[in-house]
Amino acid sequence: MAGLTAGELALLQQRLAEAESDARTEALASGASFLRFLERAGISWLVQRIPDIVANVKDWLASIFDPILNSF
Amino acid sequence: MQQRITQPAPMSEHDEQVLRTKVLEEVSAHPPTIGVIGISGVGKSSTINTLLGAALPTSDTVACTKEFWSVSAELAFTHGRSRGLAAHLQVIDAPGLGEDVRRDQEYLAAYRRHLPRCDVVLWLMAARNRAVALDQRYLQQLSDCHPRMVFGLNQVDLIEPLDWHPTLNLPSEGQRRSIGQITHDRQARLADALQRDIRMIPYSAKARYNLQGLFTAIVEACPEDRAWLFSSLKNFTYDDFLTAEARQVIETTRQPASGVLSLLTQRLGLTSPSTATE
Repeated sequence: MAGLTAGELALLQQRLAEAESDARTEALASGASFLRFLERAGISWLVQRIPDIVANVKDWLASIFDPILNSF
Repeated sequence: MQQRITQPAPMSEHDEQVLRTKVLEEVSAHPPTIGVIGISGVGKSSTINTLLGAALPTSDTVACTKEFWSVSAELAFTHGRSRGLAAHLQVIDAPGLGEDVRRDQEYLAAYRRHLPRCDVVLWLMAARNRAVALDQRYLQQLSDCHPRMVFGLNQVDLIEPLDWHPTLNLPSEGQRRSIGQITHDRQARLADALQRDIRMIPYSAKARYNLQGLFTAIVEACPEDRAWLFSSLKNFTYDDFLTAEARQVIETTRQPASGVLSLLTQRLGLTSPSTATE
């Protein structure tokens, strides 16, 4: 398999899973942070409409949607 | 259980204008600001460039940082009427710390003036450098300037026995052991100097190894209503470290994405993170 041993593949998958987990943690922290910002700015009512504005920003998707889906 | 929201309400032009105004006010009044501290040569500028898409000059041979930096960067509103919102990423990076003992007090004084306005402070060390006395000394002098410090151990790809795996772009077994030992050692020695526990994050800016781990630590350390600014300036993806060959192998073995992200990517017709190469 592209010159990789089973052990190397497992190592690669493990590193990727760790990075993915870190990315998700970051996304959730970032999303929660954005909600705090909206609250501080007095526009927390915009939360329900945020998806439109960030619909094309992959890095923000999990951040923004997870808190929303969990909040309603 | 009934899901109360299945489709986000549309954002009106007025809504977008309100949001845009608030974001602009925030980034204008309080730009995202990161303090970067480390002995000359640990890769401070290259780390910031890699993480946040800044364009700080770097050099393998001479110290490039001559002043405190302010870098223009675009927030990640890439589409719609709010695209192109710009922020000035401020990088507090003192020139030549540790290069000349006669100037250190001047640099430390500058750090003490600037650090309090940072959202987060990134303290960097080079994995190959065993001498940590300067770091300990500076840390003791600066630790009271900022409560939110993240510690990074750069250049782990250069650790002995120098047999970084070229295809996997990962440390060899011997290097993994060394990285663990060195990380533990530096962590303990800085914690001793600080008299409190710290967490040291091994990474390599050049090999793009564990950038996500470092970045997540930065975001988590930020003030809770400011972390989103840094995420929106993020300039890499968590799987950037994959070589073309490794990516090909992973793609053939990966399971379909699941959970909320999958739902959203399907609904919005977006690229799933499993295939994102941006």
